[in-house]
Amino acid sequence: MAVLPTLNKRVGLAENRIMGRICCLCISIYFLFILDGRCSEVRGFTYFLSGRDGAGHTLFDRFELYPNGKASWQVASKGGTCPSEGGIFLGHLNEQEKKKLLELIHVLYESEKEKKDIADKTEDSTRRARHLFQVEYDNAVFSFELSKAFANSQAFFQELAFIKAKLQPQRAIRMTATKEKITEEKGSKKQGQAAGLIVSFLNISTESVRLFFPKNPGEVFFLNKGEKISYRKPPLKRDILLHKGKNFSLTLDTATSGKMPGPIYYDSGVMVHHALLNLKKDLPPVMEVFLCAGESL
Amino acid sequence: MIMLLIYFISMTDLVAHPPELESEGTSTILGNGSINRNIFGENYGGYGYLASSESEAHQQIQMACDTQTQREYLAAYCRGQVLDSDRPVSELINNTMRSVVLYRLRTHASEYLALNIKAAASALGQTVELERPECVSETSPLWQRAVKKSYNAKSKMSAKAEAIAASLRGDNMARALMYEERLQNGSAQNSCESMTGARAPACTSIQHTSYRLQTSFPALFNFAVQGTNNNPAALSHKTSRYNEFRNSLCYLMGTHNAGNLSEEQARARGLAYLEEGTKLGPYRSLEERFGHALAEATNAPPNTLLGKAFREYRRAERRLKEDHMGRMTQELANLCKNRLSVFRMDNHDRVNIYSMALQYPNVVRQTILDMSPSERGLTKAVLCEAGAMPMLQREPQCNGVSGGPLPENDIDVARWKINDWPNGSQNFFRLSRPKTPADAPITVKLNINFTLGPSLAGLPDSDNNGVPDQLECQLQLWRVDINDWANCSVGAVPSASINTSNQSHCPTGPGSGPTRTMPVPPTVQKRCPLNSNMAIIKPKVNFQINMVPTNENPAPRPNVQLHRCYRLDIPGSPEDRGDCEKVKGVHINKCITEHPGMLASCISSGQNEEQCRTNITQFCRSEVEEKFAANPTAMNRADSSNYTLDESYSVVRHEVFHQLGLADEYYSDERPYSLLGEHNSIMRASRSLDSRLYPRHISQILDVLHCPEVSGEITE
Repeated sequence: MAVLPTLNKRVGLAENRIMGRICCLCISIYFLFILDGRCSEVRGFTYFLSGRDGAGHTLFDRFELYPNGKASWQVASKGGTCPSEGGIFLGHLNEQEKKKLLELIHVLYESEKEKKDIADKTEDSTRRARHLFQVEYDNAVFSFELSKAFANSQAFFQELAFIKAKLQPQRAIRMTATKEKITEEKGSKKQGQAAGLIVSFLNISTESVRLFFPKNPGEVFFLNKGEKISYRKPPLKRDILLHKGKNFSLTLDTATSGKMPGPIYYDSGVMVHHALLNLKKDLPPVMEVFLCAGESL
Repeated sequence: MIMLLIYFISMTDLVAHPPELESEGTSTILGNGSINRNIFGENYGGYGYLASSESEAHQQIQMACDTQTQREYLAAYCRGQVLDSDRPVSELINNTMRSVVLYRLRTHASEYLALNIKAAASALGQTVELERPECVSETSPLWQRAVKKSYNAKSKMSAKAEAIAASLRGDNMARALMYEERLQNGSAQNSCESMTGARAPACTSIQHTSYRLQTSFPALFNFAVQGTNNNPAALSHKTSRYNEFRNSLCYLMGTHNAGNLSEEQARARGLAYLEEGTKLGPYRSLEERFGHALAEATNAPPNTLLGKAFREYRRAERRLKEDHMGRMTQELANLCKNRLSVFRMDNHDRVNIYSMALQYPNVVRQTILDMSPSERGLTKAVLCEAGAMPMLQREPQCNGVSGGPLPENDIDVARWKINDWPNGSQNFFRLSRPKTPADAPITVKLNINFTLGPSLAGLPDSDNNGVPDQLECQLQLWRVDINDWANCSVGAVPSASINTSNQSHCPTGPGSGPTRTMPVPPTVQKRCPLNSNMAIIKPKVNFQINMVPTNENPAPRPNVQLHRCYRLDIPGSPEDRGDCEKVKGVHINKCITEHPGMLASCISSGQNEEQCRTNITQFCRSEVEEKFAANPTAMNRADSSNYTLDESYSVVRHEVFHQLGLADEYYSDERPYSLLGEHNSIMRASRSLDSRLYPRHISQILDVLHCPEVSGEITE
């Protein structure tokens, strides 16, 4: 029996050694996880499409999913071949939706992470679109640019399209354009006058939106092929605060407005956060609205 | 004798306080209908930049400093008097001239400093008494107006005060800090410490932008002169409160929508966003993140983490302003003191002028803009003589420039030019000039090679010359348009037919080659130059721009590929972007987003979600197929190395001038601090046929003449 304690002690030592090794292994694995944030859970991400096309039209599209499930989508034009809505859209994803999207973003990150030189290159002034991602893991934030083939990201973008469809406008505008109807009554002031374009802006969101109408409408309105544009009657104010549910219309004249097919663009040319100067505190920032209302022409 | 004494006293006073003339200078941005007048991006320069555009304001100091040009500056000041050709310029510029220029610079600097002090005081809710520096006349209109409490909203002073107040706003300072860190990252990525090799142009561009940014935000960055009297140098550093402000804005971003994070975790999260965000190319997303966090934090309850972060941010912002006010007050008090030459009497004005250019480059720019043409001539000559120009202006990029000097040898440009880091463009053109007559224009020759993308395979080629009819037709129309418009713009031809419609007129079917009937687009006959101020271009230029089809693979540079389908926002290779099926795929996703109610109503009808999704995707596919069959080009979004066959004339003009080295002049995500042009500048507005060239554009193309590699023309 006297041997037993010694034996037990020996066994205990051996056990301790094994346990010690296991512990060391555990700690190593733990630190591996800590140091490599990619092993941890994805908490949120930001997708950002940046740039302009050859004609100078903005591509701005920014989707963000926050750790608390809140989703924010800011877009120059909402979608389709001739979109009419742009602005900020908000929503809250349920756990299932959130999990699915975060899994897809993790897969996308894994497929792109080998490419490390995203910032280490200059860009051709002539090519301007970039898909950028920032993925927030539990312990770190990683950035990458989507550079591989379309197929790699198709599942993610399709899921994103369904999520975007569920979001509600927070600060957004719907623009429509219709051809003016001219009554050809004798003696009418409008007799012989070329038909203009009636452009309307409707605030479809919950917050107020500020719009710019400069002295020269050619600075913000663009017809498909760059024809000259003038106001029938200049707006009384150059910047208009459009409240929830309100509509603002004006008539534009162009040499070919009666005949021109194709879209009309309103592009304030400025970005949301650059418009705060000289505004009162209670005013919202200026929207960059880049809208197209060609369908109704 | 007494009369003589009085005369001498009055003369001394005249030299000490020379008459302060203020012309209207270049046209003001006020009242010209610019929608961006109130936008920080348009006049961020810290001192207003009252020119027609920021690009133009910077062009005003983009001047040569060779002997001949300096003589011309002086001749303008001396109102056409013949200068002694035997005397060197340094002898033609006397101490009185230097004193006059220094006085003007100091007066403007006093205005700048006074406006800074007042803006900071106003932001802090304080009032200040300004003390006039002794070297500024008591009757100086600039000083008088600067010390007034309020300005006329339409005055130049008001715009300057506005710009300075903007540079002291917390959100703008935060953006400046973030972009400066973005530039620092860019500098590290390009190994700019060594400044050698192919990346040197990127480094030059980064450094120039960084210098502009730093001088525009004096509350964040500080400049001082160091070195010796003969070799003064710039010293730039972050102000003492910089890091405190940086930490506070990281904390703010880290707490926004963070869930249940601790304070420590939130700080780490915010810092990670800053560090990662400033590594990315278009870092706009970081600015957006900050903007959203700030907007939400303003209304956050004080007991929340976000509320706490907001208070810390505001405290840090306030401390920055307090420090800034103290420093500006000290600088105002020291304004009249000599720099680096307190005990030396020889030529200290030269060092002081150098010092002004170093410490207050925005002030020097504004001073030049505010001057009459003759004063401008003198100031430019004196600034050149003081060696101050390298600090104020951007050096020409000389990589890939060979040949010369003109007219004996042509100059070849074959390079990747970094116009505005990280953006650049291919430049492959040639400058030549006949030996006679002496004032013959310089010819700018550019050949652009066009290839067809895979989606355009099989286009009709009725004359079997290997070039599809539609391509031949389109290249000819673009070629005629760009040459007529560019040569008329610079006055190289007395008149020209200029297109009045941006629409393509080439038939898409067979029989559209030049051997067939060429379409005639609508034009109007114009007298040239199209704008009178182009008459000042010197030396004169003309353009020979050729657009040729090629089957070579890879196509010689510069090259453009043409497509039937093209979306620049499709990730992957150019082939991916030119793939019609992938273009349709983008539109299918957009269609899904456009029909928000469809999924919900499908699920509520009893079908499972997966089935509903499949149905919606199928519906969208058929919608897109239908639209594509009706008008495939409506689904495209091209960039300028990839056109569609109906690309508009004005866009082609814009892109061709990129290939001659011009930078974009519009606001862009990637370049938040790039210089903006006028609303009708071809480099800003590419959608309008009324967009025009400005004299600065031609100067920028001819910048290569200043390169030592091709010297002999302008450089000494």
